Amino acid sequence: MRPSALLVLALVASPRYGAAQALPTPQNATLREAIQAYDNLDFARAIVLAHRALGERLRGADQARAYELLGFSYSATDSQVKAVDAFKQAILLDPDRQLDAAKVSPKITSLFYSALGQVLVVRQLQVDSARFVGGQGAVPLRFTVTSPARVRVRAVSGSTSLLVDSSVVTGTVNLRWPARLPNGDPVAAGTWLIVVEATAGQNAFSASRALAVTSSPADTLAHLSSLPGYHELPESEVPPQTWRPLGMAFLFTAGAAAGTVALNNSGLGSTPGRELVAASVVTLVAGFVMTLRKPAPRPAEGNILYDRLLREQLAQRNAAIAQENAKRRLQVELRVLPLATARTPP
Amino acid sequence: MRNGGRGALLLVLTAGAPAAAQRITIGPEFAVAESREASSGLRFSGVGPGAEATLVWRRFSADAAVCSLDMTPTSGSAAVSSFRATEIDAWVAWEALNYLSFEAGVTNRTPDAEFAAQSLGAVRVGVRTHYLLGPGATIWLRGDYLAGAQFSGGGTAPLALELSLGLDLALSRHLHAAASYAFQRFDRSTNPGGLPQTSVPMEQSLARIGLALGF
Repeated sequence: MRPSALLVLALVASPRYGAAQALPTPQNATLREAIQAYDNLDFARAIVLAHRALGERLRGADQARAYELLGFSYSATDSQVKAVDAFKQAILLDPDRQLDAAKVSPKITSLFYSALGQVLVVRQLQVDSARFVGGQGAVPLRFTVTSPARVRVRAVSGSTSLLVDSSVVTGTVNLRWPARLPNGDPVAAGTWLIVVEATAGQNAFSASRALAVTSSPADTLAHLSSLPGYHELPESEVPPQTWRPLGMAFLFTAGAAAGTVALNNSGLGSTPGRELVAASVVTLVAGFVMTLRKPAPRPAEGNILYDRLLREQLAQRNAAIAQENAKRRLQVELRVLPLATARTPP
Repeated sequence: MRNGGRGALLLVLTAGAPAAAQRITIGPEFAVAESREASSGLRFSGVGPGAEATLVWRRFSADAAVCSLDMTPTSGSAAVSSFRATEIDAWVAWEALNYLSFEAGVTNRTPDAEFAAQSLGAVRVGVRTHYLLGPGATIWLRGDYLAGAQFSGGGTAPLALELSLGLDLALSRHLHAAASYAFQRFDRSTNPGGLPQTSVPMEQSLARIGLALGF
C-alpha cells in the first residue's frame, strides 16, 4: 500500500485524540506534546513522547492517559499486541475508563475491548440511594467483572464486616444489600464501604464505594377519617311534596260517607249528617294542611346500609393501620446515600 | 275500689317510665251524638263530655273511651223525655301490617232512664286501616261487626255493624288532638209477649273531638 493511502486511512480511522476523549488537559508537558503529535498524525513521535512521559513522574490520571495514548498510537501503526498491552495498563490504572464508540474508530475500540477481556477488574461499581424501613427493603448494587472470577461483596464499617454475596460471576452483576446485621437488626448509622473483591487464580482486584447510612424512627401511618373516594350519604331523605295526603284524606272520608249511606236503615229516615260532616271537615282540613306542609324526613334504608358498610370498612382499615403502626414503632427507617468519592482499598 | 286503686297505680307507674316503642295518651273529649230507634219518629240528639285513653306497645294497642251524653228528643220526634246515656267503648288491636290492624272490643250504652231508650251491649270484631298523612297526623278507617248484641228490651240483632273514621294529630311531643266519627246500625228484632217478630232497628252516629296528653 502506498504511504499516501495509509495516511488517508489513518486520518479516517483515528480522529484527534483529545477531541475523541474529551478529557482534561494533562499536567505533564511531555504528555501534552505526545498528544499534540498524535493529533498531528505523527504517531511515531507520539509513541516516543508517551514513553518518555511514562519515564517521568506522572499522576495516576496522567499515567493512565499516557498508556491509553500509546494504545491509540500503536493501533494507528498496526501494532496490535503493543496496543492491547498499553490498553491493559490503562484499564488497570483506571478500571472505569470507557471509550466513546461514536467517536473512536472501531479498530481502536475492538483492541480496547480485547484488552478489557484479558484483565481482571471490577468496573463501574454503582450504589443507588435508597430509603426503606429496616428489614423491608434493600440497597441496589451493581458492577461489572471483566472476566470470570470469584467475587465477594462485603459491607464494611469500622470493625463490622458483613458479607453481601460470594459467587463466581462475570459480566454485569446486580445485587441487593438488605442493610441488616446477622441478628436481623438494621445496620448502624455511619459511613459504610461496599467492597467488591474479585479473585481468579493469581489475579485479584477490588473496588469499593462509600455510603452514608442514616437512621430515624419509621414514620407511622395516619389514621383515616374517611375512605378516599367514598363519602357518607344522608341517612334520611325528604320525600317530594305531593297531593297524596289530601287524596288519602278524601278517600278515607269518602269511604266513611259511602259506608254510612249504605248502612243507613231507610226505615229510620235520612242519614244523620251532622256528626259525619264534622268529622269529614276535620279530616279533609288535616289532609289539606299536610299537603301544604313539607313532608317529614324519612329514613333512607339504602343509604343507612351503605353508611354502615362504609364505617365498617373504615374501622377495619384503621385497625389494620393501628396494627401496622405498632410494628413500625419498633422499626427504624434507613436512608442510604452513596458518597461522591470512591476509594479503593490497598 | 281496691282493684280500681291498683289499676290507677299501675297506670301511673307505667306512664312514668315508658318503655321503648310504648306510648300512652289520655285526655278529655267532647262528644256529639244522634240516635234513632224503631222508626224515624223516635230520634234523639245530644252532647256531652268524655275521656279517652290509648296504650300502644309494640304492635299491640288498647283504646278505651267513655262519654256521658245528654240526649234530648229532636224537633219532630215522637219521644217526649230526655235522658243521660253513658257510652263505653273499648278495643284491643294487633297491627298485622303497617297499614292494617285486627281488633276486638266491646261497646255498651246505658241510659239513666230505663224506659226512655234501649240500653245495649255488644262485642265487636273488625279491622282498622290507617295512613300517615304527614308528620304526626294519622287517619284511620274502621269496620266492626257487633256480635252478640243484647238489649234491655230484649230481642236480637243478627246484623249489627259499625263504621268509623278518625284522625290523630300530634300537636307537639306530648299533646295530641283526636277526632272520630262512628256510625252503628243494629237490625234488632223482637217478639214481645209472644207476638210475631217485629223489626225495631236502631242507629247511632257519634262524633268525638278531644285533646290528649301523650307520654
